Amino acid sequence: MKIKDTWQEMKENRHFYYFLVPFLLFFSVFMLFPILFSFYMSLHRWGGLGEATFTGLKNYSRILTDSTFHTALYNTTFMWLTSTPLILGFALILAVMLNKKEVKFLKYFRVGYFMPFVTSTVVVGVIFTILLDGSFGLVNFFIESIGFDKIRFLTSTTWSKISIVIVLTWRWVGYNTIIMLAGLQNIPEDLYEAAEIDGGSTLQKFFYITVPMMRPIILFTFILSTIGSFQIFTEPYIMTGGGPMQSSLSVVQYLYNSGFQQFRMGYASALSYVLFAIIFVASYFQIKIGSGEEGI
Amino acid sequence: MFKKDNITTIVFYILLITGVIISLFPFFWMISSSFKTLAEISAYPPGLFPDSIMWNNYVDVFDTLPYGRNLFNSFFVAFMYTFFGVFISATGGYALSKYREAPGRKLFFALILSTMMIPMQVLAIPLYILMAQVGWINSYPALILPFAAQGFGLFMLKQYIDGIPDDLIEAARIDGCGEFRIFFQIILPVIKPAVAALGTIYFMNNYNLFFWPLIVTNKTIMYTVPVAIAQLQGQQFGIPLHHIMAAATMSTVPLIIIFLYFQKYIISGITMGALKG
Repeated sequence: MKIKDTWQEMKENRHFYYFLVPFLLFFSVFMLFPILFSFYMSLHRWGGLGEATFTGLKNYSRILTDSTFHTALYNTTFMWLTSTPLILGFALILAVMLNKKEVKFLKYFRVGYFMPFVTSTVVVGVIFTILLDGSFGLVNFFIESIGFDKIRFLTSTTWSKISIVIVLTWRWVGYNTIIMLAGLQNIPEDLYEAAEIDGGSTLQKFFYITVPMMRPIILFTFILSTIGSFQIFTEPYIMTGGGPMQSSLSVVQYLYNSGFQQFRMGYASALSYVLFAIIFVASYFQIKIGSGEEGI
Repeated sequence: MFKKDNITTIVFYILLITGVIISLFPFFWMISSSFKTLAEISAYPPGLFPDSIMWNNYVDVFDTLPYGRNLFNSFFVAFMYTFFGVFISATGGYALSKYREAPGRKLFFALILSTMMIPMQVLAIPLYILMAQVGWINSYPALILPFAAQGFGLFMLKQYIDGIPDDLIEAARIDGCGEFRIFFQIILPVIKPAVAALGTIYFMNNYNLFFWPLIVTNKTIMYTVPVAIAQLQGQQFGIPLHHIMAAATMSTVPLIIIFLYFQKYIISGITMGALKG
């Protein structure tokens, strides 16, 4: 009886399936299948040609002791933890400034700040390669003209990561400003008016109204930045090639090198899974911590 | 606050304008460099403007690369991707939003949502193998299809369709309007702003995509613009910086024009996800 009822309901709602099928088809072939196949691959050793050899969890245990992977993970974490506070801090300050009702030319400011996000990462990479060049770069011209020595931004192990952070910050501040500005505009005006009647100062209003009300938005941008950070590939690939001496090698570039240059497909698949687990755990904890106080 | 204190106002605008200059300066540098000679780009101290305008750089790019074809590839792929991706997100979003009684609806929705966080890089290896198996390396389908079904897009359009009152659809049904006609003639026109927002975001993302085209193409004529530029940059000896800057300018200017034209939609699309999600 139950089955018959369900069948009847499905028939009545058959258009649901007609409408969903195109999406579901692409989704299954290009998302679900690769996810499962990737796991299968990660249990094998395969050079891209011929038979794959089953190796069990060997790829995963190798990741644990792979010092290049550790370097890449350290670099990526470094870029994530230094660029995110910079990006979100600048973005929040800018958004608060732009949210003042008296600001003139808001539209133009918004477009100006957003422009870096519109450009492709490759183009951004090639522009900053010449701007940050160790011998003829414009940035070094400024540094020298205020009395310091030139910095080998892209060719020294200390500076290569920092250069990537500079580029990430430049590119993502505007994007996050736009999101935060929209969040600020959603805060009810009466909250500020009430605070004003009670004699609250600008700083008090910022910390007791703006920050708590912006919490979900800040959390959202933080998670986006985290996910984005662990996908970093193009900037180091273009600007430093991951070097010098792997000092700016990111996890994704290591994955790329393992899979598409050394053709260790099984190992690269295992790396993919580890990368996904890292992103998953990081975002999970952020949601937990971020919503913890409200007890959601 | 400004009228009270002129100095605050001035400082306020100086800070904002400095920020804009920092945001825009690299673009100026790209355009300026694209008209310099190679020697001028690597001269020290660097000059703000080129000594004489080198239009030749723009012509020469087309000799070093099949750059016309690369530009075509980028536009064609981004356009097809956007069309496909938005369309299947709209139909899927409509199904999940308005057929609430359909068995399996919750399961499908949960399944799609749960994959939203998975970055493309994680799928690159299996997708590459899949593409190689079906002989799609260096093909348009490989550049267009794999990331067309995005949970993010489906979710965004579903949210928007949720806001359309059911009565509107019921009324059309009573008038004898078929299910597909309801979708095309009632739903699609109403969700146009969301479609435009998602469409511009998809177009931009795909036009700028690097990782996937890098993997799935290895013939210069099938490169999209980012891969073509990266290839020039990756040359071992004598990197043609002047050509790179000309190519970068040519690929960026159309996108900036599109952005300026559609900026309202892009901004609404990006904030839509943040405020509702």
